[in-house]
Order: sequence, then C-alpha cells, then structure tokens
Amino acid sequence: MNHRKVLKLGVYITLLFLLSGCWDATDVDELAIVMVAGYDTPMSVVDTDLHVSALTDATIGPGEVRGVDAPSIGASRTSRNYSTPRDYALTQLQLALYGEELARQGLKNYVDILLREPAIKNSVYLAIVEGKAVDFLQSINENEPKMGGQNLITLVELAPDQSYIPATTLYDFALDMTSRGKNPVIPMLRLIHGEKVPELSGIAIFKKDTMIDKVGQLESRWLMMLRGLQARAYIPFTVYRDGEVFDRGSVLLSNDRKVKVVRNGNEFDFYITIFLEGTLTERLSQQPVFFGDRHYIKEVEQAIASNTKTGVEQFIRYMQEDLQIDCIDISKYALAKWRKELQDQIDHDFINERVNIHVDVKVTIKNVGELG
Amino acid sequence: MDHSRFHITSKQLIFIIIGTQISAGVLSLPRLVAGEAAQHAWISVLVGAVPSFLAIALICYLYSRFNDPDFVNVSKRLFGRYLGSTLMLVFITYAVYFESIAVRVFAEITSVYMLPTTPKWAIVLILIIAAVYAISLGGQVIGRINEILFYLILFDLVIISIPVLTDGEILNLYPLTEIDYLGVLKGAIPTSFAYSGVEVLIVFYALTGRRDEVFKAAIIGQTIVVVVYLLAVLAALSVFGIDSIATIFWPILTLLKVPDLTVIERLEFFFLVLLGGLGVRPTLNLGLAASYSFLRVFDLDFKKYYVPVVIILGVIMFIIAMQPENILEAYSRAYYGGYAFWAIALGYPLLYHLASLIREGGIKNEPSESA
Repeated sequence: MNHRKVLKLGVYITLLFLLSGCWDATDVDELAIVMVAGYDTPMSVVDTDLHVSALTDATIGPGEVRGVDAPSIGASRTSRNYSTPRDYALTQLQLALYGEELARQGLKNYVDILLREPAIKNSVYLAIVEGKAVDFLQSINENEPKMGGQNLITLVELAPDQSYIPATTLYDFALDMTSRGKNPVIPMLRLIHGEKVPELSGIAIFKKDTMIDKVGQLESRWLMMLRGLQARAYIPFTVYRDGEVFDRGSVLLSNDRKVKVVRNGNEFDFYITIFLEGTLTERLSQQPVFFGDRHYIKEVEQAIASNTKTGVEQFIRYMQEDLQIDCIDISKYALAKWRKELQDQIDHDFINERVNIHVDVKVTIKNVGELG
Repeated sequence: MDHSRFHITSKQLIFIIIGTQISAGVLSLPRLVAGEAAQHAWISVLVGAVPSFLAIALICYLYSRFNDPDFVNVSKRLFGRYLGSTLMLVFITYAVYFESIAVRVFAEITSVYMLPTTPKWAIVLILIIAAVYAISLGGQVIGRINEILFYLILFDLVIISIPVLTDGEILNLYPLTEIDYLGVLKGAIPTSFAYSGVEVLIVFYALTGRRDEVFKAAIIGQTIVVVVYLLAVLAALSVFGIDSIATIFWPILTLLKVPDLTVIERLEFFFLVLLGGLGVRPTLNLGLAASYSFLRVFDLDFKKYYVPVVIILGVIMFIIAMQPENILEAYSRAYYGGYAFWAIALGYPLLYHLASLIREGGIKNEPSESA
C-alpha cells in the first residue's frame, strides 16, 4: 500500500469518527416543541422581573402551558429545566405574546433573546394580550387542547387577509424599534365569549420599544390604510340619495398607498393617497342597478372614500396631537430626501410640529358580483 | 508527483481568484461597511476594490517582465538567495495564518447555526482534513473544486434575492446625494479586507498555462467578486436599512431568517449548506500556494515531500485556528489580517518593482532559473 492509499484511508477513518452531527443529535422524543411563548410582568414580587410561559406543540402529546418567574427569559429556561423532563426546542416557535403591562414597560429586553438566538426565526409573529399572556395561553389550551395553539397562530398570521389588523413579525418589530423615524405596531388579542375565544381586538402602538396606546378595530382600519400595510377585509357602506338612505351593503377591499413629501422651508407637507380596490359583495336594497343606474357604483365609491377620508383625518389628528409620534411610517420618505439633516431630529417632535398631512382616497369597485 | 498536476487553466484561475475572496467575510461585510458609509455603502464596495485591481495590475506587470515568471525565481533574482527566501517565507506565513483564521471563522458560523454542541476542535479538524486531502491532490483538483463551488454562489445569490423581493425597500438606499466622502473611504477599508485573497495570483500566475490570459482572467474574477459583494450589500441595506443593520452580526444570514416561506421555512440553513463548500475555498487555494512555495523555496522534491508538507501544514493550521478564545477574537484577528493583506498584495509587488527598477537592464527578459 503506497502512502497515498494510507493517506486516503486515514482521512476516511478520521472523518468517520468525526461525523460532527453526532454531538448535536437529539431524539425528537426528548423535545418539547414550543409553538407559542408568553411573557408577562412577574406573578410574584420577589426577585423577579418577568413571568415566562410556553405553550408546547400538541402533535406529540397534549399541549401544555408551563410558566415560571425569573429575572430574565434566559433565566426562566434554567428554572423550567428543574421541573421539565424534555428540552424546549424553539425552532418551531411561531408566536410570541406579551402581556399589556409588560409591553407598556418596554420590550427591548424581552426581544433581545429572540433576535440573538439563531434557532429562532425572524418571522415569529408578535401580539400583545389584553391582560396576562399566561392566562390567555392557559385559557386557549383548556378550551382547545389539541388545536388551540395552531388556531391562535393562524388567527394572527392571517389577520391582514381578513381584517385591518397587521401581522407583525419579530423582524418588523426589531426594524421599527431600531430605525430612525419608525415606530412599531403590533396586533392586540383578547378573550371573548366567556373568556374562551381569542379575538383580534385592535392594534398596540409603540414608541420604539414601549407601548404607548392602543386602538380598537375601527381605528385599526385607518391606521393600516395610512401606514400602507396591505390588508383585505369587508367594509360596510351607505349610499344616500336626496338626504335619505338609498342603499346599504358591504364591499371587499384591499388597500395600498402612495406618499409624496414636499418641503416648505422648515415644514414638510406629506400627500398620502390611499387606494382601495375590490368588489361589491352585498346590497340590502332589492332594486337592481344595471345600466339604468350607472351612477350607482360611483356613489358607492364616493361613500366609501368620504367615510374613509373622515376616519383617517381623525386618526391623523389623534396621532399628531395625542401620540406625537409617527405610527403611519411616513418619516422614511423625508429621510430618503434629507437624511443628513433630519436623522437626529426625526424622532423628536417632528411629526407633530413640522408636518402637515394631506390625504386623498381613491376607491375602485371592480365588479358587483352575480347580481345587479 | 507529476509536476503538471499543478498547472491550471486561465478559466480555473478566474474561479480561484473568486474562491479565495468570497468566503465567510461576505456575511458580515454589510454591517462593517454600512457602519461607516451608511446608505452609500455600495460606493465603498467599489472603492474598496481599487487595491485589489491595483494588485492584479502590479503583479501581472511585474511578471510580464520575466521570461519565467515564478515567484521563487523572481524573488531570488531580485533579492538574492537569502533575502528572497525570507520574503517568500513571510508570504507563506501570511498564507497559513490567513487560511487558518478563515477556517476558524467558518467553524464559528457553523457552530452558531448548525452544530452548537459539537466541540470547536471537531469542526475545525474536519474542515482541515478535507482541505489537506484536496490540497494534496494538486492544483488541477483545486481548480476544478473552485469551478464547481463557484456555481453554488449563483444559488446563494438567488436565495439572497428572496428577502429582497419580500421585504426590501428602495428608500433605505436613498438619498443618493449627501455623500459622506470620509465615511465612504472609512467603509472602503473593511471592504478592501474582504477582497483579501487576490494575492494568490503571486503564486498562481506561474501555474497558469496561458500567461497571456492571466491578466484578463484575474480582472474577470475580481469583477465577479465585486458584483457579488455589491449585490450582498445592497440586499442587506434594502432590507434592514442603515440603523438596524448596525446591530446584526451577520446581516446576510439574518436576512435569510426574515421571509416566512411555506415548505422551505428556514432559508438560512439552505444557504449555510451551500456555504459549507464556499467557506473552505480560501483554505484550499492559500494552502496550495503556501505548500507549493515552501517546496520551491527549499528546492525540495515534489514527489517525495509535497504530501508530508501539506500534512504538516494542516497541523499548523489546526494549531493556529484553535488559538482565538472566542468568535470576537477570531474576527479581530481576521480584521487585522486585512492590513497584512495590504502589505502582501500591494507591498510585495511594489517592493519587487522597486527592486527591478534598481536592477533594471540586467533583469528584463532574461531567462531565470527553471521551476
């Protein structure tokens, strides 16, 4: 055997023994696959800053919720390991819930571990719970022990497909939290129907990492439209003729926006055009509208545009006067033009003192379905 | 050993130039550059490439003045036996150090993302064994490996483009005006370090079959590297923006954690599997350059000593790669290795040109010692 063959043999044998994956091999039976994690202010008042709970996957056994008090999320893992036989696997974590009280204290310290941990994907969804996240999780698990966790994840994930509520990911939050001129918004959850059924109740508005206010379902619609977060949902309308109600119904609309910024000295004029496009899905009047009433569609469009314009203008006043932060993500357009000058000012009284916002709403009804 | 096994084609030289440069460094490049040049980081990527192009021009021009443009011959002719050999040993030391740190950095990334409980020495060892085996087979094999692995970069670029399409925002690259020239220049420094590897041309020039095509091949290879870096930086900037990118260790990997894709789910793992090949290419190319040069310096018989030298080189690489105590120290060493790259890639050719100018007349187009 020449030295080349000896070398080859040596390489093969060494590689065989060094199959590095062996060190990282884990039997799936030894894992508790976490799907939803909850974070709250502490349940006890002694030496803790946080209460961490986790809902594990129900596919390899009944889902379970376990919670511990600890000074930090990392420390909670150690505390949990004293009583949990299986290793918590976070690669399938899909939803992180934060109690409202904790969110109002600031989430920076409680997303750090999620962003730092390579196993956790940045597409994990975030939601704020009205009340305690642990109570919320326990209720979900008690009422739907098999599919509760998965249904909750789907509810949050598909929120923009069926309502004007955003699906905010860890990436979205981190980006808005750390970027100048941006502020995060996160969907809110609550329990209804005797504390059994989860519902998307609105949007939590953040100033960087700290929750400062929340808006309900209707205001969420204006926020989503102004912010340009694309969604698709049913919107009711009323058409008036001669001062009386002529028709009522609903349309299924998707939204988009266009923003233009013009500078006038030290002031900035933002022109936001909201585009709403969709189909008429419901009419309560039985009077058909074919070619004989060709203005009808225009009237529906105008009714929706007018209602939307009123709503978004109210929201803008609320944002500039009460919130005093940019939660509709328009500052980035000013930064894109005058970054050097504005980057240190944009998060300090810019939106409420130096900005005028003008909104135009354009509605397009593409069709009226199968009936006239 | 058959000496012809070290000869490569000019096409393979393109892939070797690319392979020595594009490695784990690209993963952190957007953070390093954007930290200095903000939204104009892409300009820094272009400016940072100037030293590399200059190095190619200087090396090719230097060798074009010799009939037998071998690193060892040229060194000995210009500087004499002892000083020439010393200069070559410095180059060999640099190459071994650089390839060792490249292995360590790649092992760190593998450890963080894929094999967290596997001991670092096991990851480093398995990479070095594979590299030593490939190097022991000679230049042609290294050339072919580089060629095959090059095509993986194209897959990687496709993967990187997915988050750009789903989450990228062109506003993050604006304004195009308001250029901070000092910031761009500061950003060009870490970028120029990311181009380290082009200096292998000092050795591979002589190994390339068609010398008249070397310059063209090296320029093509370097241009491809610039394009890949440019796309990577633009992709990360468009998704993260200048503020967020500063907080992320490996923006290119984090980029792949952003989109939520059905079925595939975790893009970064696909990317890392592909990167598995890319990560060791600098080790292969520099390892071959160091081993080949070592035998030429001491005029050793290739058939008898090449494989033992490569194995000893592997042992030295392992020892150096295990020196950093943690990932931050490994990156720190890699960063300072960048300054050494300037000294080698630009300093050597300039020094050699200076020496040949001093001795001009007696050097030009004279036959030198045969390889």
